[in-house]
Amino acid sequence: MSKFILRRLAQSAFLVVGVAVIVFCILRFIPGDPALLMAAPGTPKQAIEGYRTLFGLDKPFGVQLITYLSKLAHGDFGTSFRYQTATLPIVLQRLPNTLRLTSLGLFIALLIAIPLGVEGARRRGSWIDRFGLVLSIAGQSLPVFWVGLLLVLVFAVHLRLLPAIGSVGWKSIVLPALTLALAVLPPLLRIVRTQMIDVLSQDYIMTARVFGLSSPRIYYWYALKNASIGLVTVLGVQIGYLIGGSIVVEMIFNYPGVGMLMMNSLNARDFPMIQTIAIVVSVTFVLINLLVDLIYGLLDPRIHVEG
Amino acid sequence: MPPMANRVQVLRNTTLRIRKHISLTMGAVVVLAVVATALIGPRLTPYNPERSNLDEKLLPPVWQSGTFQHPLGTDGMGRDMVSLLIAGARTSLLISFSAVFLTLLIGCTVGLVAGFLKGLVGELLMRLVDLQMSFPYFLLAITVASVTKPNLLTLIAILSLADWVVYARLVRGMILQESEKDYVQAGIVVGASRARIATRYALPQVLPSIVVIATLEMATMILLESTLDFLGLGVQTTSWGVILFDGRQYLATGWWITTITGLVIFVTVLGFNLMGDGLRDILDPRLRLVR
Repeated sequence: MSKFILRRLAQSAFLVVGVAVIVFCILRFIPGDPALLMAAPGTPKQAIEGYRTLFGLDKPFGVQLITYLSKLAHGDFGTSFRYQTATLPIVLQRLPNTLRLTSLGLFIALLIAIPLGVEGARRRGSWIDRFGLVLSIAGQSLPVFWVGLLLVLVFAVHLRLLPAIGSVGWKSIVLPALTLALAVLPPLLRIVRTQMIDVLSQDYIMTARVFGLSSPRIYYWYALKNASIGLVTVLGVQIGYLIGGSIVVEMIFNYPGVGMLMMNSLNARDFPMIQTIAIVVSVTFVLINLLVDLIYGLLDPRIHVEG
Repeated sequence: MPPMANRVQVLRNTTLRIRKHISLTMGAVVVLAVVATALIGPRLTPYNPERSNLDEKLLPPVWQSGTFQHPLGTDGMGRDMVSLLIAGARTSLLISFSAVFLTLLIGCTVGLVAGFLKGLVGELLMRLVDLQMSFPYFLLAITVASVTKPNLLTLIAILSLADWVVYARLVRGMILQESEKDYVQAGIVVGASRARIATRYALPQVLPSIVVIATLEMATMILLESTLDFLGLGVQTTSWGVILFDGRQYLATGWWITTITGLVIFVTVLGFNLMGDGLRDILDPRLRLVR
């Protein structure tokens, strides 16, 4: 097991370096000179040259890349063009907000998906099953940003119940988290239902019933435990969508997370910041996926992870 | 005479199948209607969608004290909403369709090659698939889109990077399965080339699944494209996402701009999803658990 973890960690490190290189290359292919872009209009030529030397933009591409990577290895993520301070602290300061938002969104989605999926599988073709199916196909077709805009329109503009633009208090997280939940709900609902249908047809469920175990205990403990293996796989994939979704949702609700920082940095062409965000996000993503793999082993001892 | 429970089951399965056909029909009707509107678009649009008229800006739709001259109202620059939506349909559908097609080509080629060349090349290609799967695509897409300021072609290219892995994995899996079968072995014996077996005999086997996935991918692409446009990272041409992007600042004064446009996107995407779901049940019941 520890061998497996080590190997996955090595793979993950490789992946993160790959991300750093790819993002660096993309940003260097842009037409337009970053030094010119960040200088205020009317800045003397010498000052612009100064910027160029300061950020190492006058050196050849390969040298820039190697310098960047070796600085990264020493924990130096660079200085933001916009804030004129180190990028990493700013990103790390925003990260908890985004993690709070995404985990609340995921939690709400699971809170709906699990009971609805289990009941749907239990009584196929019933009204609750049909409701679940309609919800999943309709939810899959809803544009996330549109749902967000409608919520802003109803709750913030018309009812003035919730702040559209706000602090990080509980009120400002409710609408974005709901929007995000609706976006990730459909695939979760589908997988819970199909997996439960599969599990419920197996003999041990009948055995449990013969032994007189209560229905809730059978469904929500024994069966769900086995059905959740498929759920965890889908969860791993959904994390990527959650990250994408949170960028959109944070933009709409002006929620001060990493997603909004990313959009603002893209607009301001704050390259060091963009690079840092890409790396921090992919590290988070990779770690969560590693966690998913480990949970597998716990859920299903038959899955033997090889070193 | 089968037992009662069995007959009930049979009956239920039949109704389920018919219901699926209903969803297929509903989806197909919506999709056909939208595609037809987009195709004959310019002849339908009552006004030039690019023409702004500030005297007529933010006119409400007809059911809300509006007039029949602009049934769905006008936007913040006085452009007719109906004309805008039709022009948007052309752009959005064209981009999404091209992206789906390109994705399909890339994915199937990678899958075919990886399936038939099991050596180093196949292994490398599958590592590439893993790499793509382990990186949040959306982050990459907005970065590339924001630095390249995409035109129609670059946007299609960016979108095509999204889901090619879905096809690649499916095609490779099926090719590996098929290549164990007798007809492939027989083909090798009589001297057919690998490429010929792959494209002429093995590929048709996965065609139904590909049709299903491509239909569902249209739904995904329309959503993805409009999201990029909405973030201000897409094309400059009028598309559904661009209408929403422009309409966002009139949320309080012109609610219909964002509401109606989003509704049009929703219904179109729902159409493709319903159609894909129905097709999946008819063409390829095996796929049900894949996605």
